[in-house]
Amino acid sequence: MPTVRNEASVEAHRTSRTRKIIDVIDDRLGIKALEYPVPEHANNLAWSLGGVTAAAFGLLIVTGVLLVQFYSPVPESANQSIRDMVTQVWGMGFVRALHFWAAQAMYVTAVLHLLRVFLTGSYKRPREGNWLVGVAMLGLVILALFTGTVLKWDQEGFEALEHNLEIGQLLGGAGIWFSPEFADRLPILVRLYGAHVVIIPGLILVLVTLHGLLVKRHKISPHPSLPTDSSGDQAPAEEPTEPFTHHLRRIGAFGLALTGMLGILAVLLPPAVGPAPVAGLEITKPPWSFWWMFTLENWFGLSGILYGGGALFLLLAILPFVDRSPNRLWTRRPVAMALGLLTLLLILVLTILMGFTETTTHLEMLG
Amino acid sequence: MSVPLALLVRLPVGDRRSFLARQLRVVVAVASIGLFGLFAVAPPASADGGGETNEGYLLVQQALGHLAHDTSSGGIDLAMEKVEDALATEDQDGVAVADVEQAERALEAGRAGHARALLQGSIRQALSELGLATGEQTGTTVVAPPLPGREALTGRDWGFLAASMVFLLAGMGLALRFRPRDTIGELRQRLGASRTAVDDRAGSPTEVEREI
Repeated sequence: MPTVRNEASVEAHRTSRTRKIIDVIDDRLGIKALEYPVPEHANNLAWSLGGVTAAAFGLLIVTGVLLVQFYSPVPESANQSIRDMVTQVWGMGFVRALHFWAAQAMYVTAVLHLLRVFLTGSYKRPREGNWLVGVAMLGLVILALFTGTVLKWDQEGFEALEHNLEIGQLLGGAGIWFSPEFADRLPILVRLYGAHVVIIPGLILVLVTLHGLLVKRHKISPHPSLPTDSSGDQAPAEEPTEPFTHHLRRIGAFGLALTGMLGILAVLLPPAVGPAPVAGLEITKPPWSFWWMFTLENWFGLSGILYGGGALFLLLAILPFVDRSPNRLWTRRPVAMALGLLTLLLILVLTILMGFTETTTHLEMLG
Repeated sequence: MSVPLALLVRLPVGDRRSFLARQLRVVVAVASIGLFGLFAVAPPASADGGGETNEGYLLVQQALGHLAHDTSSGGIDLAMEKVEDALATEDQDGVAVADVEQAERALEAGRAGHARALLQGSIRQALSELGLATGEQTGTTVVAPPLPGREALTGRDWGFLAASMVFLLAGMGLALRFRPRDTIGELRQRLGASRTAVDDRAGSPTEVEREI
């Protein structure tokens, strides 16, 4: 018995010491403000996907900071600098592979998060603004994937850039930034590098902050199969709550597991580095996240990418302003569900069709 | 249209919401018209951006590109077409034509590696005359074969693999430990059958909904 009491006393002492440290930090930084209550259902995996996306983003920043130490963003040496860092710098092959897989994970978890929000009607009043912030972030994630693909400066990356430049031309004045004439003394690779390492992650950070603040402002949306409060857009007071720090703690655990999973993929399936690009060739297929657009391009030409991507984002943007009923349960939203399913199926079918599509020339570049 | 902020604050909540909704619609409409206008007045897409090149060194580089990407007979055929174009074009500045002819013979004999070395050497002078790349220029001098993603696992790889597995297991263990006390089904029971979700008056949720 005395031993048990001693252990309890040591544990209590340790807890009080931890508590004291937290108090000291809280006095100066106010971290206890994060302990506000959130409904218990928010700690499920499906409701933590936004946090998992943020964890992938964190991993991308850490690995990205390491990559920029060795990457040369000028056309003459970009491709070779990647080969050098992968083959000659200790551990950088793993870091690059981890960056690649974290990018795939961020895209997948962002899409899954969007699907969860759609399925549970969490975009409905008063959360329409936050839905738009999320859609904008998805657009930025896709831009980050695109610019990252170009930075490899191999044939695949160069062809992606050429597509982008010609789509910029289709956009006319709105696509001026994507034209080489915008700053004709610089290689466009340097500008895309700036976009990839500063502009896009910077904008994502700003929007993530806004996203988080709006989640706090409107509170976690109610679970559609649970009762709501009298307003209909909040979880009821009777639902058990946990401090937000517990939500962060669980996201941290998911993030750790995600890092491990991506690490395994990075070792077993690291990305290759293609040959340095040659102008006038169109012989590669884009990364898998762009396959559905690739099929559209084969059917309708370059404008297929523009109109396909534009239509998808237009649909996403207008969704909360069209679907205005208070119903959140999917069985009570047949039109929205049918449209969502149709869109998803279309993207899946177009993606699968890419496997049966030959690469053909669409670009006007020298060939 | 414009209502002073002080007046807006004094409006009843319902009126304020409808006013803000109207404002939002106006903003969306103006933004849409603005975007449409921007595209409408913009110059049309260039229709004469390229076509077949007649630059000999670039045709040789394109042959090298085909050989680097596809070492099958299909790739060799495509490379051969580019080599023939390079030999036929008038602009052969900086290209060692004799080397290209030799490369053509090597390709015919199926010796792609030898042909690649000859082609790379044949444009050395042309490449040395190029300035630093600007705009969308590639800046490519050597078209090396792809660097494969993975080779045999080294001790370092096994180390990263082991660390990653520890991360994965630790993360899964912690996620399990920090899981919420109640499942959605239990929460539903706790919150009582008397209260129903706002939009769930027609019946109880399905299994799929319970999993979310």
